[in-house]
Amino acid sequence: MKNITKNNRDAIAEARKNKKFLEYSESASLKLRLAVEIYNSREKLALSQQELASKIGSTQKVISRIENGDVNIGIDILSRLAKMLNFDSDSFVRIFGCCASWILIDTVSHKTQDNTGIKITESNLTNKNYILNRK
Amino acid sequence: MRAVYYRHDQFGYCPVKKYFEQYAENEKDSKKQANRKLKLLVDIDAKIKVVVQNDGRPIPPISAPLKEYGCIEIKHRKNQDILIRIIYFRHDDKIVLLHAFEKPDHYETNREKKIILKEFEVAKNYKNIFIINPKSYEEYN
Repeated sequence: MKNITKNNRDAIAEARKNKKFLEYSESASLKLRLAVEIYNSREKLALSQQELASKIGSTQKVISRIENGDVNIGIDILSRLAKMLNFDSDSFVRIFGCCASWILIDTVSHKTQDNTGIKITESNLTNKNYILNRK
Repeated sequence: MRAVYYRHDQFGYCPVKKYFEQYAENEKDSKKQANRKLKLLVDIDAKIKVVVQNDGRPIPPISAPLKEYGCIEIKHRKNQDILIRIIYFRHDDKIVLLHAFEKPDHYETNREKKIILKEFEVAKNYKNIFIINPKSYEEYN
């Protein structure tokens, strides 16, 4: 058979030229970093997807979709996951990227505290009502 | 490390690039369809990027080894029922994207299992061909 060189369309290269590509790409990367962090934390605690789902009041299907980077998860479920999986400040740095500023969100009152002169302390992070969100 | 498409010289094309073609934008697509295709390509690209950043090593849950075939697999959910599976292997400084196919998420019959195994064998065959001729590739841009 003769070698026939066909020029296939490069769908991904073409997609990169789309003005929405970068925006979607950043979102996809964030979801994947979250997926990896949740998976690794879950494995460390030797929890199955079903067990984790039961503990946070969700379903195995939802956990699976999160770990596949398929969904945008809401702040409520993120908070429950962060608490159950013992996320620390390093977890959030890995997910949201290195950033100079952060805010603490009180998940009960939804009040926030920014980092103007306030240091992260052990008590802040172990307070189960707070989650850390890097800006 | 960088990603490349394996090129099958006899066929004259890159199997994974050819697979992605079906998701390239088409004039006849509605806005919704075009957006869905774009998001799918973005998601797959993001997973490939993570794999490259991790030097091609399996990084669960994004990629997992196919030990019997000496390859690694990236899975991506296309929809509720269908998984896209992209098979690659590490060769020197390259992550070689060998083969891609889609199959139902859950399969139970022997026939379905055999189809999947056949696809893995195709990927393994491409891998063996590439090792003999490691210049058979195109850059993943």
